[in-house]
Amino acid sequence: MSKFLFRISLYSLVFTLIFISNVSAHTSGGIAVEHAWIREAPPNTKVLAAYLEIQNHTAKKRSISAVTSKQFDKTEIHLSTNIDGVAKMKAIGNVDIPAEGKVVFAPGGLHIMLIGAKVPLREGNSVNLIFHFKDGSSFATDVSVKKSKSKDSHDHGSTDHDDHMQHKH
Amino acid sequence: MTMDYPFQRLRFASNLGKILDTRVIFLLFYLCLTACDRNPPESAQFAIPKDLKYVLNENPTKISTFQLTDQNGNNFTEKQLEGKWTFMFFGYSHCPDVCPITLMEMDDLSKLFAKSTSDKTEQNIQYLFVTVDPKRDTVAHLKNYIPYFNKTFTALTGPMENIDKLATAADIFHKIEYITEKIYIVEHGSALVLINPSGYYYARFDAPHYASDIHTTFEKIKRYYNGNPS
Repeated sequence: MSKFLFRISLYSLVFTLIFISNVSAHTSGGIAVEHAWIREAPPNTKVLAAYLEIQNHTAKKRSISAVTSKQFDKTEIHLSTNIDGVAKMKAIGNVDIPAEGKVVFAPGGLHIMLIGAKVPLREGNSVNLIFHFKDGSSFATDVSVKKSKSKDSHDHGSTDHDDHMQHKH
Repeated sequence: MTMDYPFQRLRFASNLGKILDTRVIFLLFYLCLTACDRNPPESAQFAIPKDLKYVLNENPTKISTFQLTDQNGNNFTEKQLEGKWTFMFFGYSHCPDVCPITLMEMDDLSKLFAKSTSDKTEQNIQYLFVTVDPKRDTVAHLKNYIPYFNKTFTALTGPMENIDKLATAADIFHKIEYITEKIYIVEHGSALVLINPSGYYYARFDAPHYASDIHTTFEKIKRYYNGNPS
């Protein structure tokens, strides 16, 4: 009898684990974030930028309609452009991630502009970002603040910041 | 008469000497002027080397008078542009992407100069950050901001019309764009402007900037400026 009960509890544990893993996969909705970091801002400067790679592991195109964070007054998706020698930032309404594809937010290009930090953020702090999708789903992730080094001068066009940071330290 | 002749010849010689002297003085004066000016008349100028074609300003223009304030509250005018090379970038502290990237690249550049030069070249270069957002970038704010990138950099602010004067001289565009009623960003020329030691807007490096490229190109620019284009 006790053996039977043990089996039952074991089975239920296994089922629960499967269920939990299913739930976590469901909440992430096939979305994953990698290489995420926020550039530390100089003292008293409350506008920061977040960079990351967001992947869509589903068979359907996913569209980011907004990114929010409770730690900031306002959050916007921006694209830095350089047209005729003028640096501009354009607010982007929707960012589409193709099916089984990814979108890279990187320095000098697409970034999440974090405006008005409610509490000053320094290296090592983390920011909770919530990605809202057009289909009503959302995806939350914590991104840590890092002191950034400039891009490697020999590495034109590369956006792999982590590699570069390792070079410098 | 016979006695007069050598005397007259002497007098003639002395006159010739005077004429020559005046000419020599004029010539020396002219040479000195061209040597000091460093922007010799067109005939004396070397053809712009191919690789500097899109970097050098075809018609270097003197940065006209302006008055701004640095992060320590000191006056900064066109006079501080003379006698050294100046790398100048226009931006604003609330810019989270392009401005920190450029300032960090300028910091890398300064380190490259410090490492590579055996002479005192690196002491002859200054780095300026000129705000296009004086409303938020006050002297006090810039005092906190600029040392984060490099303690030797100079940040300038002042009344918008004064900033405009310098921006126009350096051919830098800027314009405020409102995101909401209160929040705004500033569009601004992203080039790194190079001013020569005579205070002329001499070259520009368009974005994206790579410190090592600028470092190499600058050496060529300096050789060209010093009259040796090879």
